[in-house]
Amino acid sequence: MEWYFLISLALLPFVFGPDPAPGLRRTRAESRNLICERVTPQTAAQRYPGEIAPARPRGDYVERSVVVCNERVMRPGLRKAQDEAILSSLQELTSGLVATAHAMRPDLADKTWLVETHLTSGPVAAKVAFAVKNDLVLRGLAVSDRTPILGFGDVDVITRLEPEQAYAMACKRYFATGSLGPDHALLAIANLDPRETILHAGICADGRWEWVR
Amino acid sequence: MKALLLTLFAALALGLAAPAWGTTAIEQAQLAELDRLRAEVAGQVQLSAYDLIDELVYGWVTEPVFAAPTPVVVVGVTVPVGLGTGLQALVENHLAAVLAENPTSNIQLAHCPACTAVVVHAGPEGTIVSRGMDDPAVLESIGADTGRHALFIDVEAEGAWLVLRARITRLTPDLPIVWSHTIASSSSTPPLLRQPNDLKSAAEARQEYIDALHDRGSLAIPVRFVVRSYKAPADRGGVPPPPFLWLQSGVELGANDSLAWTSSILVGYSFIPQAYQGLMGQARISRLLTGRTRSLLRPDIYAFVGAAAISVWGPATGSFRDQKLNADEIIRDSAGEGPRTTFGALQLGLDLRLGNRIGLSTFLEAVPVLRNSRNLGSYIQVGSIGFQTWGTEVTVCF
Amino acid sequence: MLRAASCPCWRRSSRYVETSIPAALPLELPPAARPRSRGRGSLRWGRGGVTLILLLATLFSALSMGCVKVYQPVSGLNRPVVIDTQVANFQDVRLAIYCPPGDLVNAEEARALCRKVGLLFENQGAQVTTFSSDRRHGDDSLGNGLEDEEAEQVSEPAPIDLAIELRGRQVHQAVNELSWVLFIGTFTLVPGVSEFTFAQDVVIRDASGFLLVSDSLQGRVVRYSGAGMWITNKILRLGLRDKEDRRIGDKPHGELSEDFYGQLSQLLFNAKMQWQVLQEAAPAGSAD
Repeated sequence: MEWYFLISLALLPFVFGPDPAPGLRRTRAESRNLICERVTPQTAAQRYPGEIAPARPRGDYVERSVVVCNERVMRPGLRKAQDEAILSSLQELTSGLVATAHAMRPDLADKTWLVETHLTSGPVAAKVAFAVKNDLVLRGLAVSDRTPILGFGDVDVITRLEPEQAYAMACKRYFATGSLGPDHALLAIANLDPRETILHAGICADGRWEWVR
Repeated sequence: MKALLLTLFAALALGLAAPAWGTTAIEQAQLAELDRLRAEVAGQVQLSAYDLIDELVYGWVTEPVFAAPTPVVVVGVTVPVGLGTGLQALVENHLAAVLAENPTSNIQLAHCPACTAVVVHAGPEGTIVSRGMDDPAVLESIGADTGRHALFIDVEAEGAWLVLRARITRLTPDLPIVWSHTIASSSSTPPLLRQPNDLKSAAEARQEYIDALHDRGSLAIPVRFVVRSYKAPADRGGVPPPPFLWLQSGVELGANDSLAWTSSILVGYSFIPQAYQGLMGQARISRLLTGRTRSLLRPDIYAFVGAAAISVWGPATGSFRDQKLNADEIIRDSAGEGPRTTFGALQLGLDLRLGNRIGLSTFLEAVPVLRNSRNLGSYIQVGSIGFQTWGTEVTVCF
Repeated sequence: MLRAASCPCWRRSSRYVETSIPAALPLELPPAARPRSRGRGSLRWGRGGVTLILLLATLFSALSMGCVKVYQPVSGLNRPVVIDTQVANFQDVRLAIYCPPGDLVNAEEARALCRKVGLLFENQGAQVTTFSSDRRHGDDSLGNGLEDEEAEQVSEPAPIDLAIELRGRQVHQAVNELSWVLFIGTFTLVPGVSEFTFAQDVVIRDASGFLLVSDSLQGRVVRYSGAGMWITNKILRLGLRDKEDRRIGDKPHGELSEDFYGQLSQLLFNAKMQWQVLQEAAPAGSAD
């Protein structure tokens, strides 16, 4: 009886593999810091050769499923929630906006694109602008690093308008002052409410403003 | 009296103010803890950021952006939001070091203080405060030697990914972007630690790492020196066997490339003149405890279970019996060849391996057939199972 | 009748018959005197053995009832949430919630889910109507089993701004067979482990059916059965774990609800902002 008990305990570490759920070996914070994805053994074997054995040609003796978990680089709480929400899916957000803008206005493909961001956090706004510019270049569009400029008087008036009027007015003034020309298109990225975790995009071309998404 | 009242009043005011001070102290402690956590993350991210910089420069070496060496000004290096300027400086320095070691990238770092400085330009249209590179007047004054291109690099933590974005902008009034690139690395991917003067592609560096891990493959020939010590009985009535010295060799196989599981079959011989001789066969299964793959940088610890069949003979092997050894038996054993005993044993132990070349291990062994022997005690007793033998080993693998 | 009187080998008592049969005498015993193999001892052992087995079985059943359930957000449920569900985020938003039953939830559970989610958004200022299916989009797979109240609402639909559809499904289920073998062998000291992964698909559309948000929130629940894990968890909660971790194994549904309601509110708010932007972008007179 003792032998059976001892063997059972000796086999214990090999019965329970690493589990991402919170428990004896993992705290709640560590578990919530993981981003997990369930994939087939074939996909896992391709992504992680040598660590996950592929399925045998004649089938495995047991049914297998793989959960791949990666740890977040920045732990929750180190950044503001809105910043973290936007930055953690930055590539997805910006790629989607650029793809939609490009699809909606294919007629602007031969113009030079400028990018402007309106977010509450300056560093996050810079990151968003960087990502959007890279995505535009990736699509083969001509992109300028220049930032369109408005005079102090224009800024003073525009900042007093409601958002839906402000963007349209700014667009008109860019073209009126010559900061944007007929060969330019401006892609403006904005976060309209501090409670939302998505970005909106609008295009300013030929003095006309329109929301894309 | 007035002074006393004033003192009392001041003390009361101090006491009422104490909760406010307490809150500030808590906030300060929280901020300090946040700073510490951010520094910890920055330390973990640093090597991965270096890896991305290496990959970026490797891309320039294999597919140069410019046909000839071109001066480029590093205008902006930004790191993940929430991490400080310390990491920024480290990344910038690493970029400079790697570019200096790889002139074939055709990127020559140039210094342009006017490009990054904040300039104020007053004119009829108004006063404009901007970076130098955003001011057309400054751009016109920059000479060709200073650099007509600007490099921007951004590293950001996006969920479980560390993403590097880079772009090169020509420093003309239109500031066109001439090149851009995005590279991402998962947090589960270990940094490749490439040498700046010997950059390889990520696939090559990974293969080099796997080759080093495989080393001579999953097959090894161990040569092992073992000392088995037997516990004296608690009542000190019996005569325990002397320590046995064994020399073993055989084959050790890894179940997979990572050597997380290994198995071994060895045969051993023991000989001490006029004392004993022995032959044994042993099989073991080992499991790596310190990680999922064998490490190149630190020792590995394996846990093993095994079984052995041991046959010993000679004058000193009389203790391997159930009855207490007495003087007559000792004399009789010394006169002739001595008794011969064969028994099976079960082992549990730990093995410390250095680079899969040198091993130090210790184990406990139970001999079920001698569990009632009055010449043997137990180092550890688990229920009715007694571990009578304690072994230590030194292994050299070829 | 036996010729026992002539044989000193027989002795008969009122309780048992003891026999000692000489090899040379071919005796045939009457049924009443037929010896029992063990006598009183064997009868006592039979009753005691059964009692012991029953006791062990009862103890085993009792120990097996110890259970620790652990919840883990897999994807979507652990994203950062900015919105505060205690304030009126959806003032004047007319919301329809559809909770069709499926593999994971039956009709009753789907209605309960709809009620809870409806309450969540009513607390945030929305005007909520709940349905078991979205009849406007021809979801005929669910049959015609509408309740009277729903039938009335479908025939005269109230104007809505946004519609949420919640569908639950099971992604994966697994049992660690070896752990259950050890569970039995160690008398529930080693826990038997089973787990399942679920997904809650969320689709949010505007009144015209235009897709605003589509997401899948996945979570995993691991169940450890047995006294060993239950006792270990209780001991750890007494002081060996941080305050944050003392919730492990305790009411996982509460933690899941917290995550789910937060993510749902965030998704709906994002959809609402998206909807407002699209309304601004729509040409004049093209509403509805």
